[in-house]
Amino acid sequence: MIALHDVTKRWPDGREALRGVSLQVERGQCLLVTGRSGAGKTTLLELIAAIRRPTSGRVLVHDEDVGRLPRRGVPWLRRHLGLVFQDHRLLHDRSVFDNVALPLRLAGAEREEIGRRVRAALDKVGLLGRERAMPVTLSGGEQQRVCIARAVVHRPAVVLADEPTGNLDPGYARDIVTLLAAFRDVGVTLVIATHAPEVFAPLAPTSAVLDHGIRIA
Amino acid sequence: MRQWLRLHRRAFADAAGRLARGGFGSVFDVLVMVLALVLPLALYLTLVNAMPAAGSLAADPELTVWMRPDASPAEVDAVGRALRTQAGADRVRFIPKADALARLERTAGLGDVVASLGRNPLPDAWVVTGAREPADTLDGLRPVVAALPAVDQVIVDTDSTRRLRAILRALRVATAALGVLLGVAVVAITFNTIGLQCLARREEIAVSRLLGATDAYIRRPFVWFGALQGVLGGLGAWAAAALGVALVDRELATVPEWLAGSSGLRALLPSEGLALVAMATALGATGAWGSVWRQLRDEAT
Repeated sequence: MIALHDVTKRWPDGREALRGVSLQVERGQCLLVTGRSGAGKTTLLELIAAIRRPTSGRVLVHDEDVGRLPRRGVPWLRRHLGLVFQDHRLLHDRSVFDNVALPLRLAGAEREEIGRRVRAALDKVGLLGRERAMPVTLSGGEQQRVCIARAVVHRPAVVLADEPTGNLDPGYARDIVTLLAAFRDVGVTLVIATHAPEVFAPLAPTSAVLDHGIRIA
Repeated sequence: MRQWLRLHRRAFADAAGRLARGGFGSVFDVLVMVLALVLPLALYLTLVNAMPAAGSLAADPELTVWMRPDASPAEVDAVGRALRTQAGADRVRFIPKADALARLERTAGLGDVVASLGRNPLPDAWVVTGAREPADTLDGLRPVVAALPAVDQVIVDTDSTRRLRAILRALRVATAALGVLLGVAVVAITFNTIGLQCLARREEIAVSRLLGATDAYIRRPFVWFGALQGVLGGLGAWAAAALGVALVDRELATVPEWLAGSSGLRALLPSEGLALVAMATALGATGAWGSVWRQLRDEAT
């Protein structure tokens, strides 16, 4: 489902964010990408989502080399992924409903379908009834849950999550891990970048440990 | 197809909502557009209204052949046949003396004078139209035609007529040039307005792209916004031009008919007005498209 073969990402100033990284994740698996800050975890997720392109090597998603996707193919790829950002990246002038509905609107879904699916996603993350709330009125944990609802509302086969429990207190973190476990149980492939792997132990994940851009375990 | 239409419907609703919520900002943007459109429009209307006032000035050079008052119908026909064989004579038209008198009576407000005449003092006439270039095509024809039997007088366009025609032609070119320049201005205005909107919605655009928005999806509401501005600008310019024509016409109504011409000033025809709105819409959409294209190119991820 997702495979990296000898992937290197070098910045224009010559620094290497990743060097010769290879890994494989099968459908319905959970992969934890761990390492200290600056290890290259976020860059690895960005390569899978075609937000950046590798300097060398191959990044395969559904057997498609996303590193060589033409520019027009990138939106198609991203519509099949669910992205959870560390900083949530919610639109603060839009309600919770509108934020979660965004991937469905991009796909041109009908109004009734949007309403049904958004409510189902918010129900899953425990925010049903808060559709009209503005993100700024939510706590950090709630904002993260909105972000997760937005990532899964269009039922992607793969969810890429960057520090999904970062800056959350342990109670909220447990809730989110439980939520991710529920997605994995229905066959969603998870790739989670985190510097706190112990939090995700209930997901029984496989791990890839990065250090200065090199996979060491 | 239904999905495509749905995406357009949403983009249109988004654009219309933004325009409505824009308040004074939207009003002033549209007003600037109206001003840019109304200037060449005013020149155009001045020209189309000036043409009849300039004595039905033809665009092409003309030569008028006055027949002698006592010329017989056979002699008149013979001159017509001779004229049609001349090189350089594109078109030959006959104006019977009765028609000329009727026109004099009708257009110059000289009904009373004509009625007091015992007989028609005007002769039959032929009007020969020559090619536009070279301007002196008909000059060489003059002595030949003057030598024909029963011809009284031959008049080629006078210098002043030629000068007036040249001025009108120059004005037409100036109007077209001004129209093009101010069309570019309309595109620039929309480009700038949409550019500012893109900046204000930068985060939304970035997040949408991360979630899989195509360039077309992002561009759509902005292009609709530009097009809507164009529609309003075009309609505003049409209304302003109609108002201007009505005001000037009201003033001209106080001028004697023989000086002002018998018919009133003409405003834009419905077909011309619709063409104006369509053009303004296209210009607005073009400006918006270009602006978003640049923004997306600059922020390509």
